[in-house]
Amino acid sequence: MDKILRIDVGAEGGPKATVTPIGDYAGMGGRGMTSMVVSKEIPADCHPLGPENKLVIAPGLMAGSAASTSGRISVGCKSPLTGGIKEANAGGQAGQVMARLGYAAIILEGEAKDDSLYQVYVNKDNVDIAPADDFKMMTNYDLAEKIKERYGDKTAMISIGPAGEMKMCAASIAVTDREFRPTRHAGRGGVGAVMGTKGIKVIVLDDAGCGMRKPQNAEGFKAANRAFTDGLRKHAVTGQGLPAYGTNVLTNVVNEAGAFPTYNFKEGQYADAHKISGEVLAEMETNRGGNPTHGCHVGCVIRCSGIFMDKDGNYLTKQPEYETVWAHGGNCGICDMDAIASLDYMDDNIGLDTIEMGAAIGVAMEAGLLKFGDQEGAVKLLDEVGKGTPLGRILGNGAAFTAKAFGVERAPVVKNQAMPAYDPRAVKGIGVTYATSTMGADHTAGYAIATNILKVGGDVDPLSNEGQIELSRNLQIATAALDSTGYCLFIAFAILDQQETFDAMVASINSFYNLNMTGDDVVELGKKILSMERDFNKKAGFTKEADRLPRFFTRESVGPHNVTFDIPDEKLDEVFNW
Amino acid sequence: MNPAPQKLRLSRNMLSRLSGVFQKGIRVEIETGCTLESLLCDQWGIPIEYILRRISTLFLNAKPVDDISTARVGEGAVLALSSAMPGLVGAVMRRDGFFSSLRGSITYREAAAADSIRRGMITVKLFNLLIGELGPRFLARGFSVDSEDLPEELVQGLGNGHAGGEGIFVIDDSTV
Repeated sequence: MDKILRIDVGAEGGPKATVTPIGDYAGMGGRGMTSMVVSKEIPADCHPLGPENKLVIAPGLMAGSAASTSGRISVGCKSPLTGGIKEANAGGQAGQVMARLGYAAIILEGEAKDDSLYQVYVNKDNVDIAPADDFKMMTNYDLAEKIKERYGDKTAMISIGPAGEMKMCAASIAVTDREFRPTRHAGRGGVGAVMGTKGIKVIVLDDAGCGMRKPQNAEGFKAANRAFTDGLRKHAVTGQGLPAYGTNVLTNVVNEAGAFPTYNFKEGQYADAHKISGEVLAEMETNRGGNPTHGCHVGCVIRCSGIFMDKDGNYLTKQPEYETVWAHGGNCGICDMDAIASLDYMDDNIGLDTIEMGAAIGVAMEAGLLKFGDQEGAVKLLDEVGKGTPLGRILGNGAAFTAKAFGVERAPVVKNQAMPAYDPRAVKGIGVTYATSTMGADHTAGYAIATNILKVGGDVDPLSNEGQIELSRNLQIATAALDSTGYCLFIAFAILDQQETFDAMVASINSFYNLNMTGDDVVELGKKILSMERDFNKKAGFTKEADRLPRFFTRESVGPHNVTFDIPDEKLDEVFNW
Repeated sequence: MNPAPQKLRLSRNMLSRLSGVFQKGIRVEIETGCTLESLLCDQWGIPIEYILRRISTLFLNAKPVDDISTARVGEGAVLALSSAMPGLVGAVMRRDGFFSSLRGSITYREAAAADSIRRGMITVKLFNLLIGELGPRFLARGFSVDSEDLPEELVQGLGNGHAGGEGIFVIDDSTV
């Protein structure tokens, strides 16, 4: 990965590709790469849909190698949803394939001349860019079929659906999985809208003839990667819970804790949660001939994805993630798993962030457009989004926009981005991260990474407000660093609990690049990334007042614990003091 | 006057049909007033090694429990048991986990003085891997559920009383 592919979409005669050396971006991957390019090359005060914005796509540092579970791909830009810096990442095949092609980044830049669409095909020898107006307003699944006809199913596809073409703030970028289905999404922040402004409908990556990336220290890497893989397999979460039930295994537990936002964050428990749990989902998949244990890309040993079939045993969608089940389920009072799966399929097909859409529909329900629990109504609303009707365009621009349009105060957003599936009043520590993340409310911004091993900032008093602040800071630092490697965040549990697995992960990176990186270096990388992101947001006009939860979380208590979010503002302002 | 509960005998291979029942909650008669540790180990005979290794997340009355040796289980309590969960919040909810402070305001803290031991009913919920691992134990001991929470095919068995097998399954049909 020593080169960057830049595509000037405004070049005379149509988009023009240029391959440049990696240069100053050497050593960066994933979120580190995207955030560095965004902070260096994009004027922070630009309009996100304007020509100065760029879309940066970057595989993680370990992608394309034999490193286990390392296929994440990052997408960065100035976000149309938040107005700040954005990194959204996805699984699927593209990270591995792009890395094997040798590209550390693909950057879409410039101003599209007109409304024409283009497709980009990249193989080991060439970059071909061709008109693709025949794909206009095509959904992701239909597009995948067309691409498969042209290039076969051994490639990887990065694409936008109609939502991206319509430049909606909830538009995602789809990545195909092992079966060439567009099921994995860089969902958050409206990255699909930026791809839409550049007029690039689809990027096809073909690594035929490319080998796996080779480590500098082959023996050391082989041993470290084996130990790392063994650690993932033996851990209860990565070796058993996630493979058996997927991420939706969280529904029962979060609901029991009273932290499962229900009816647009009015309640903390959903009476019908047991009908939409991961346990139920896995059973349905098994009984219908689907598969509850499936890797979203080759080389994943956790395999938390799955295949969901309809009542007749036909493929409907991939296994909906926990956040999707929450957003379209409990948050909207919908307890029919088939309906939730259909909404998940529609999101993927239209190219939408499931969290943002579930939250937007929840707001619409609160506004009285439809009743909580109206699953047919929810499907109709998503259909309107896909068609781009005036109502659909309101919803497709997210929960905050929808709340404004319909005069609803209770928009569960930070920096305009919808909160994921955990109520910050019941779990205040995650509220700190929601409030202060550079990305807007984001459950992956502060993940349960081995801060205890890294000792980021030292030990903390677990019962103090300072403890919550300190932990959130440490989690955000560690997550920023891990987001740069390409390793899936779900390795976090194994490296959290098993020192030897953490050591094996670090040894894998060191032996691959012939480095001598320590925990301190990981911390410094995380701080560097966050500092770049904070600096960009500051230049974009963000002040400390942007690092707050909506006031209703401090005013309205949520049951069953009847708690409010009461972390003082001045404490939130200390998160990034280092 | 409530009708007498009907009993249904089920074999262990029917356990998978009861997954939803365990998730929603079963009613179990115990000696209330004891500590959670005593309930798990002494009354239910679950090895402490298994509890420490496998039951990493416990909720008593919807509150995550860190110290099972002090939390007391009273009449009408709701106890939920889970193995380790993914995600930050999954880690946060773990018993005595590194991130437990992030949910400090909802953590279970025993305030009640020790009460006398007496027979009483509690609700037990089993989640994820524990359904398969602890479910047979409860099936063997017997428990009560509302018939409306049973899978349809099991409700049909109510009329016959017993469906064969080794477990005793007591159904509270007061809502029928």
